[in-house]
Amino acid sequence: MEFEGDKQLGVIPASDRHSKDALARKAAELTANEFVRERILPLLNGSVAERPFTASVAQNTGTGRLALIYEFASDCGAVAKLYTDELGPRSYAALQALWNGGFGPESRYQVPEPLGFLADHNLLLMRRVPGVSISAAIRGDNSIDLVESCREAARWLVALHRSSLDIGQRETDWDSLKLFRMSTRFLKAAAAKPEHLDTMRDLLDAVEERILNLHHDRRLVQTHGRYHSDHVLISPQATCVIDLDRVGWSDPGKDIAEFVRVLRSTAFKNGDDMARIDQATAAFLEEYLGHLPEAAKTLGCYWASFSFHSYLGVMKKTRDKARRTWQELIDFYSNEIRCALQYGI
Amino acid sequence: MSHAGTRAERESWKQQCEARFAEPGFIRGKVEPLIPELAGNGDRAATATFARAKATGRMTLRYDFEEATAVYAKAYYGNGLGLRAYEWLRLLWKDGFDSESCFRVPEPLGYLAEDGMLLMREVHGTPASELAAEGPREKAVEAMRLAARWLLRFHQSHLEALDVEPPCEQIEVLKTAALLAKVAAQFPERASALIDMVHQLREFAPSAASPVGLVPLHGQYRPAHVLINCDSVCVIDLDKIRRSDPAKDVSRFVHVLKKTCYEAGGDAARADLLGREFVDEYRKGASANLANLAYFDGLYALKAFAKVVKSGKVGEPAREAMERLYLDDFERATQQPAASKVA
Repeated sequence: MEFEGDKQLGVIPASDRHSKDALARKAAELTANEFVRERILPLLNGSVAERPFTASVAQNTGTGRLALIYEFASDCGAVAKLYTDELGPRSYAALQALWNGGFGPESRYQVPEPLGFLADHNLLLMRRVPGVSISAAIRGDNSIDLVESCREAARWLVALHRSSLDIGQRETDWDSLKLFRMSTRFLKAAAAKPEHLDTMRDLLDAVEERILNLHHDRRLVQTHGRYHSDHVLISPQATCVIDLDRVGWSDPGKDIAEFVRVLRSTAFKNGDDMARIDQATAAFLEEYLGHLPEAAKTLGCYWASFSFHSYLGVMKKTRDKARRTWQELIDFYSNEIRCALQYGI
Repeated sequence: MSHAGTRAERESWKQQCEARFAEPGFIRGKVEPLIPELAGNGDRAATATFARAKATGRMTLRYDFEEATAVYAKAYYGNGLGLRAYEWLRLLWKDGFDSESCFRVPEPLGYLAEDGMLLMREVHGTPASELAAEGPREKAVEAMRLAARWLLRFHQSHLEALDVEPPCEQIEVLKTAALLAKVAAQFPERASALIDMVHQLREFAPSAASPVGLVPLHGQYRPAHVLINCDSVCVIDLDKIRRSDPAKDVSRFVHVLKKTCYEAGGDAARADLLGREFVDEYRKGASANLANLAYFDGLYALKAFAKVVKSGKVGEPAREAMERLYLDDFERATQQPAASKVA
């Protein structure tokens, strides 16, 4: 399916793609009674056709994405994602391939069921997924156990990395390691804090040494691309992972490192008990590497790179954040880099 | 490529070598036996001249013998670089880059393992850099075409066992980031312009779907290393060869050609024309090899621009003029349609 951009009826024009107001206007159109009855309900196999519903905006943060929730009585309902770029049809195709390729209703490890794609609006519709996110557990939701949930997240990831699916594009190392973004952050940080340039360069040297050791023809796998605690939903019946817009072929270390970095970084910024997070991290890594030990080779490189990225993000700012001071955050990420570099080649 | 050992270790190695390599006993016992026409041919007066000896872990020296050919020696500190350089040179010589060919490398005479020293026969010819800088334009154009043809032939050579340049080193993104960060720390007001340039450059970065195959990369392909003698070309300094993106050699050659001209206050239009002649000639032989040329053109212009900003050596008006030239080069490179967008 080709994305034809602005030529399509109902698609947000390029100039308004990051405008919250434009997306809010679009949300009003997509949650209107008539639109839901005519376009959404037919995609739900008529099972909820006669029931009352509510439609609401779940996310409109100015990033060019709009998420909507359609709720029906006695039903999970549906989630819709509005795209303002070419990712819409690609994500729909990826979701279909995963749902039909081992991550469907027969499996414990699932993705949301794709219900349809409205090309004229660049809108992807999925069945809503039950479960509690691991992020909620970090924030203190006791309905799931954080450590066991992290093990479960590792098992979902093992299933994906072991699958024979071939979805999405092959990533270069500079894309999977976000090296261009790292470069611009480094510039901003150096301009903001020139007195810390030598420290930043020492850290970069350590990370770079690992990056240059990455073998050019090492094994890549099917990756999620944004694998973190917000996106893993745990329920007694299944573990379901959402947000599959960036699936592609890449290094397995990318998904593992992203999960660990976000888990630890979110908890640290919240001022959480890090002993509990250390346990959760260890459980995730132990479970994953128990199944696919060869991924440890590049894990350190990816984890250190992503942590350095976060370090630069803090460095370029001058203020404290939430419950942590600037210095605490700098020390935390420096330590994370050192810790990450203990893994792998 | 980082240097082996610490600076102090390399400095100490350099001092020992300078004393040892100039000793008559060393020349007679070690160097002469590797030169066929001198071996066993009695004592001859010989002199050693150090052509290049910085604390980089490499040194170049020249041995002149009475009534005989001159020999160049390259000594390397540690990590087997010298032996590798000797082996590649030998393979290239055997692969047709010999004295019978129009496209040559220096004749390898031998390798002294104990001393980490590679010996090569002297090469005759005028550096393409000299022909580019002055003299008849037609002669300069012909030199550029010959340089392009040598490179084409080299990129097609069979050196399968060469190491592959690590992907992230190929695109030099981290090395460049370190340079740009230094500039940003020194001149914070320039940071936002540099960031914009990195964003633009990123659009041209090679993609995983790039059709370019890796080839033997010279790694230091610049006009001064290309020696022209009538219609034959000999290229020196082959100790950094690895498999990599061929556009790097092409782009670096043109970049150094222009940079030398800008720094000498030469004729920029002539350098531009010669650069185009070189690229056009190469393109005739292997246009697919140039898929990532815009990226490397942009990269080298950005690095040169940053170095000029950072440099305190040049006076203000001259610096501004140089900045403008590199900015023009950068804009020209990044105004082409990006491969990623076209795809």
